Amino acid sequence: MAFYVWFFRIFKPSRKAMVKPLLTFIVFFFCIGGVGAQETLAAGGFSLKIEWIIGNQNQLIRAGAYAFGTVNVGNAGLESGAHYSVYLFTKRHGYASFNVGHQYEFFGMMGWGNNNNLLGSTVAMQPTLAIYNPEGLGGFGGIGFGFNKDFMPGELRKFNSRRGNLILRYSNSQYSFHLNFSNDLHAGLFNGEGTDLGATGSLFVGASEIRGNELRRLGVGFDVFTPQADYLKLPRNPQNSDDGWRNVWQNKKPLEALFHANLFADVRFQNQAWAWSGRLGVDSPKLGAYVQNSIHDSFGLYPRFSWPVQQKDRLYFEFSGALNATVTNDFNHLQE
Amino acid sequence: MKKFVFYLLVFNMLASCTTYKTYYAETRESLAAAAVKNTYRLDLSFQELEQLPENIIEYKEIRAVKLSGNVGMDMEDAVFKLAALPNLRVLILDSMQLRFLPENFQKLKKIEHLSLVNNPELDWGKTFEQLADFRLEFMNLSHNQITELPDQISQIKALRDLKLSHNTLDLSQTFFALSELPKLRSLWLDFNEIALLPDEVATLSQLQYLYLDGNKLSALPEAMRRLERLLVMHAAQNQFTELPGVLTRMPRLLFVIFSNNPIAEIPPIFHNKQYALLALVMDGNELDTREKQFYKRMFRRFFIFSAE
Repeated sequence: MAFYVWFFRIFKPSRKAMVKPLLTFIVFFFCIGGVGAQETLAAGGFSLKIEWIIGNQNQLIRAGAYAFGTVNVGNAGLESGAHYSVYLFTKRHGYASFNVGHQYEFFGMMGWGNNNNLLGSTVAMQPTLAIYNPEGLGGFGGIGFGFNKDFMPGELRKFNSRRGNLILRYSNSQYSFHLNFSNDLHAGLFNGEGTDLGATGSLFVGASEIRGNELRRLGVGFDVFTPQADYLKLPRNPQNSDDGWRNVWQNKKPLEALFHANLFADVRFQNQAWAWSGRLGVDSPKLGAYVQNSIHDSFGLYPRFSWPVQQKDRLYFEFSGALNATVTNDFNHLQE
Repeated sequence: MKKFVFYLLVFNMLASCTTYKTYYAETRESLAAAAVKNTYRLDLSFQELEQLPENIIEYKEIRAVKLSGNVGMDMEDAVFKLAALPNLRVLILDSMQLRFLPENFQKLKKIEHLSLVNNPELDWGKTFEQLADFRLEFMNLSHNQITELPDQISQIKALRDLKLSHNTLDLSQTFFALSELPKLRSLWLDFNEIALLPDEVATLSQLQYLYLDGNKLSALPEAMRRLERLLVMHAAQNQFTELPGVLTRMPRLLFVIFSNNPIAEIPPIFHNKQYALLALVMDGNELDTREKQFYKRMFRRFFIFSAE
């Protein structure tokens, strides 16, 4: 709880973003509480970690904290998590620079089930590690919203926009499956910053399994990074314009050519004290253009981005190793 | 029904994947025997060609051909050879000093995208008649000094997107001619020295995207509220001093770009929020810092608001 209080105090600017999701959860909580005098169970955990990530787009050392909790009233359940970390990087989104950044994430889910294995913590986008209770029970199906933001310094600063998350999760005592769609769209409960630049969108579908005291995770993801459009210039960039048919933004310097569209498989292993993870896939401008063009052309809301569509796909990889210290109300990983 | 929709979506995805070959594929600037199967795009622009290479007919996978700037090209021979390419969909014939299209141009009916930029001497009336039953979805007629758009354009019924940038069009007559195109979705009228948009713009009730950048507009006609399908309007680099109130009375208008206009005022009607607009880009305006902050708060529900 102290971590949550600290999290809310530190990220005051995000309060507006939290209002709608929190109100929704509170109303839902009172609704299910009003059903009758049903058994209420709460479970939670807290984790500290230090992590080394090396890849061809990101190279960093990251230290952070992650809290996750669930409340079950009868068959109804709420889940929520908050993450914060600081990182020292030599490369971020493919841009080489030696500097310090930090990031946070918050999410909440509501649904039906009765679980205390804490596998809901696996839905988060930023933390590579999760909080779990190998002795807990599972069973949850629900939907949630969240938001996350990455604060990068220097020339990367302009890409610091908040993204909203839509989360779906289904689990039993041992397995959990989830989908997390993240975008900077600003609409309703989806509380992105509406800037349409940087890491604008991502989709991750993952499965998690508790085996013994270990957590194993497998997933596939797709994320898109685009430069900043220059609104002072007319969108008549010939790149990705389908031979002059479509309107395409010019980009603002610096980092006007920083495009990524990563399609990858993600594998993670975690036990009481340490964890590793790996990502392997392709960074494909053609795929990025295809996906983003389809959205922009269909809804017609926006000129396209100048994806370098004639550029060949490149390998995308990222590996991490981490030390972690995790405790839950039922299971102390440190003692184990 | 659900199954049908699912299969329709899958089919649509697969069909649209031709984009990888039509627009994303490597563009070759000459024909090499080794690449017969993998040549999807060919750019022979400004090569002083008088005839297309004889072996082009072997490149059956070609989707897009650019012949721009080859002013001495035998067009009848070129069309004869291009007609042998079953997958050809994009043909770029810019800056070729064309006066007419050859009679055998009818053989290229499968073309969906035709660019005739900077061919000011072309007989447009006859050209549009020749294109009448083509599958053309997009036609680019920019930089042609067109003042009057011949009525025959209304015969190209498949046309969805039309680019008329950098001309000096008589708009009333143009709008009447274009109103007969049932599928017309997008219209570029940028850089046409337009100072006043006539009420006849309302005859384009089928229009969804309207691009008016780089003109001399300072107001929009009230008749635009009858553009009931219009989703997007770009009017950057004009002379608007205030955001036109008619934008709030256009029932489906979602996205507007008004960058680089000397806008110093946003009328109070925008305060009531009873309109469809969800994205507004108006960078390069004359609002002061305090006003920018105010409007940033006022338009915070927008998907995008930018007024730097």
